[in-house]
Amino acid sequence: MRNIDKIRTSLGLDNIYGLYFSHKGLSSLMPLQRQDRPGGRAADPKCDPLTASCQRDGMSLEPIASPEPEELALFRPVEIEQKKKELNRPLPVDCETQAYRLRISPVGHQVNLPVYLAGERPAATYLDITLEPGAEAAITLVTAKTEEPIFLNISLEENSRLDLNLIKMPGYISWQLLSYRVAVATGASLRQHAVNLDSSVYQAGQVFLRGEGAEARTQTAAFVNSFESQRFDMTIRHEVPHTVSDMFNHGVIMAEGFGCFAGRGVIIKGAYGSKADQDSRFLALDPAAKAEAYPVLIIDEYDVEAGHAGSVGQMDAESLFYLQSRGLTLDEAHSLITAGYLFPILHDMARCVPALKQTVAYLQQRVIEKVSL
Amino acid sequence: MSRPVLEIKNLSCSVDHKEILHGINLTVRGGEIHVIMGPNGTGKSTLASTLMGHPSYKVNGGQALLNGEDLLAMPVDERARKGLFLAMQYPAEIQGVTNADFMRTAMNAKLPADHQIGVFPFRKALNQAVSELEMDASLPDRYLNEGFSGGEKKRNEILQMKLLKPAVAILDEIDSGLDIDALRIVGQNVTRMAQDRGEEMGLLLITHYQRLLDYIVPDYVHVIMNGRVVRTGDKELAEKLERDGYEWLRQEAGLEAEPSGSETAADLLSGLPL
Ligand SMILES: Nc1ncnc2c1ncn2[C@@H]1O[C@H](COP(=O)(O)OP(=O)(O)OP(=O)(O)O)[C@@H](O)[C@H]1O
Ligand SMILES: [Mg+2]
Repeated sequence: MRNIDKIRTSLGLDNIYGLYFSHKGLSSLMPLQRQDRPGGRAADPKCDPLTASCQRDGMSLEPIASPEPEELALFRPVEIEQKKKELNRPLPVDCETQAYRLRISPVGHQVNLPVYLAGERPAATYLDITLEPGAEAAITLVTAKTEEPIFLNISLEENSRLDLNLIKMPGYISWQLLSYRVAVATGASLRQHAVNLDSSVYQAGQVFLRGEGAEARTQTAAFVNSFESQRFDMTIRHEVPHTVSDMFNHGVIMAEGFGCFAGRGVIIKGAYGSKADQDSRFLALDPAAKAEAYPVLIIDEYDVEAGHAGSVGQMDAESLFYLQSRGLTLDEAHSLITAGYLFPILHDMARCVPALKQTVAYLQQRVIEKVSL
Repeated sequence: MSRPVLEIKNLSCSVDHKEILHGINLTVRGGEIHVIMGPNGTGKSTLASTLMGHPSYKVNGGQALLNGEDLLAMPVDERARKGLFLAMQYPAEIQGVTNADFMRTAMNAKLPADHQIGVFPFRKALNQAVSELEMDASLPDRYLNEGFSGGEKKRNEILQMKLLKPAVAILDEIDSGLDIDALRIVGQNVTRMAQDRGEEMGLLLITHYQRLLDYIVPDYVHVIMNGRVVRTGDKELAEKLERDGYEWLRQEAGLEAEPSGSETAADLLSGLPL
């Protein structure tokens, strides 16, 4: 079975709309409903990207010129040069870029748009996504074998709502740079759920709350296996009054793994009445696990509410005792608590995007398999 | 199921290098309801935790036998599978694990691999217990104890007891934090369970207040002070304590007042260059 079909089947993403990238690059934007694909085959690669059905659903997609290097530089985390040295190998961050523009207009129903990035794409992918005023969409980005970077430039116009789900397909080991910038206008909101259970990753998010009432809520679940390195940088800037942000990150680290949550909440002068919260925690399953969780708040305004918590800890002895006192073995108690560390994020993802229920069930299953080893 | 028996013989134990229990003797048989009362900090929860096998408590001497088997030699989970149950004074909160998933895992832990309880029979038993305890129907699907009110946590302990059907159940201050109605509901549920199971289950309740005993009528009331059982009686002893407090017992037993905090005045003074 081809990669893409395997992923689709595992994640149960069959009956929803798809923006489908093959190893050759972007091929189509069309419904991936089962009845449209007899024999379960992928969407026709010859299909014109702008199909009637796409337009009917208020979406349009077109190739655009690659952004200028200065523009792309905004997506490159500062620490990436250092990362290259650490890993002691060239990273495919300087490759050529293929760019596309996707516009989503308000339609009567929520669009769930899985974007698969699998196989070896020849170049970095740059997606310019705009949600028009009042539009609501869920975009699920599933990455598998790819190492080429992914850049998302997202504009959420007035009162639009985006659920952005970033899923690394379990079982595929490849270092991945994924960087996104989101501008959130008045009354608009971003919810991001990221799940990375296998392989090293560098994920960077920059969110700009630019209109009153703008909101951003991000949650990340990371399972860092032995000898992997996962780093999540997230900056949320409150640029106007009455904006709200909330980051919630939980990670589990095995021996010799490295995990980092670097969350920055910035509230600039004049952004009064804003609220910024973050909570980043790692559960270290071994003394040889390395983790950093540094929440940073930079606040230049008095009338705000802000809170941050960060910790790297071992398993709680009282919790273990409680579960064992009900007859669970030490191993079972360990597994349950470890899985429970990540499940709140998975459960929340399914609650926010019900179409992902089966995907979440699959991811949960993977977590359980990992913790019962 | 035969009639269980928990025998505690001259048990002493310490926490943090300080001896808390100095030789406890107590026998609980199936069909009996025992109550332990006593001032704060005298070692009631320490006894419960030691029997369950909490790692912070070190046994210095004596024995605890469940149906003749050495309880103290077993790991915590084995004690549970042999039929010991402890409703804790402060139950832990566990994120990400739903109450229902946890409960089913716990039930299955006691059952042989080829007799595991299926999803539907489990849900039926769970729903019935939830409604008997007049708990909110959403509680099974919430994370284990997370964000539960004090009273909800206590009811959740009883819910687990109902489903796990222990041979000997220790309930540590199950009445604290319960409102008047909840106290009645919990009391009636415990009593009904004791009646239904008869000699298959023994109960050891730790409480400060006589009012719980209006719903659960004890056969024996023991008073623990300074790490020892200083008096055993029946329901009337509990009523007298409620009226008169502990001072008379303290005098009778020739005990000093309980040291407040973990160090005695002598401990504190011994460190000073006097
Ligand atoms: N884990 C622990 N670490 C340190 N000291 C402890 C610990 N557990 C109990 N103690 C100490 O042992 C003594 C007995 O405590 P215990 O909890 O058994 O009292 P109790 O009789 O249950 O009191 P209460 O009625 O307040 O619940 C107290 O002085 C307490 O501070
Ligand atoms: Mg106590």
